[in-house]
Amino acid sequence: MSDNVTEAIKSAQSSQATGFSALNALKNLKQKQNKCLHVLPDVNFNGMEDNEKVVLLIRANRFFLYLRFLVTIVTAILFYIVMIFLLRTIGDAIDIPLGVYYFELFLITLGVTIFMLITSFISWYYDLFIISTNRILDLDVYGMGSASWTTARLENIEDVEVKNKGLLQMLLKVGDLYLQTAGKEAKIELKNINHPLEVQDIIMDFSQMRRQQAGNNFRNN
Amino acid sequence: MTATTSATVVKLVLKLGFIGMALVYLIGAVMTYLRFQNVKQTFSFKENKSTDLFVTANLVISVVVFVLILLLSIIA
Repeated sequence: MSDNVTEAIKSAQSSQATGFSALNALKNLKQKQNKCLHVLPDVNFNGMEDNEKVVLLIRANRFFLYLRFLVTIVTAILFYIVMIFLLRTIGDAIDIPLGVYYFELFLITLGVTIFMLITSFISWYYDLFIISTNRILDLDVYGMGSASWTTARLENIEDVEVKNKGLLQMLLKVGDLYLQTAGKEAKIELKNINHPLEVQDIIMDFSQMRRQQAGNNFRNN
Repeated sequence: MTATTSATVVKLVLKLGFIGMALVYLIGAVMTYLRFQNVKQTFSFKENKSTDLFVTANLVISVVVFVLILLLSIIA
């Protein structure tokens, strides 16, 4: 598999880029890859160029998905308890049979909980950060039907910042990655990713390589 | 207001409340399904099938819950 990594790098590295250490970083990440981090994944997207290859696909650490699951389930249980209490109060005040309403409440709570769990999973699954040999893509899918899609050419990456905030990130060895692109105020950011320093290294190397390529092309023309 | 009238009003409020909640839930599931289809067209993943199954199951469950709540509210 590391041959694939070498092949991908070689195909991207058509210039004499110096100090190109992304190969080792990618090989290291290949050994650590999981659902949150894929090296050379089998992924295609609209607008992909002919010579372009996806090098890394990154998602947030899975712990934060499980945390959202836990929050959803606890909230659903609390909602159910509060609503049962309200229905009982109403039932005590006015003499009406509440059996059907208890069942309806159970159905709604169960349905919405399943919906929230699936939506959390989909949001996590499609909260993607893709590094290809030409660009960086950031896809965010938020809950009920909203999505944002940000792209930046690698040669336009000016700064890659890694932040490690709080005890939880320190214990899980995850971090937030912020990318500053030329001529744009908006930042691309990916929160709670595994191996942020290796990813930072890879982005900086690819960015440097693309800038050298652009410089060479300019001189040749 | 007599006890019978207040009981009728409370029942109506409960029925409308549950139908409203089920409707919001259904709309949310439909929107999520449509958005997912839209995102899926942008990407081509090997693992798309499992997420497709989840989103479709979500939509089916929401429709079933909505219909059940509507029927129960009419019957009650």
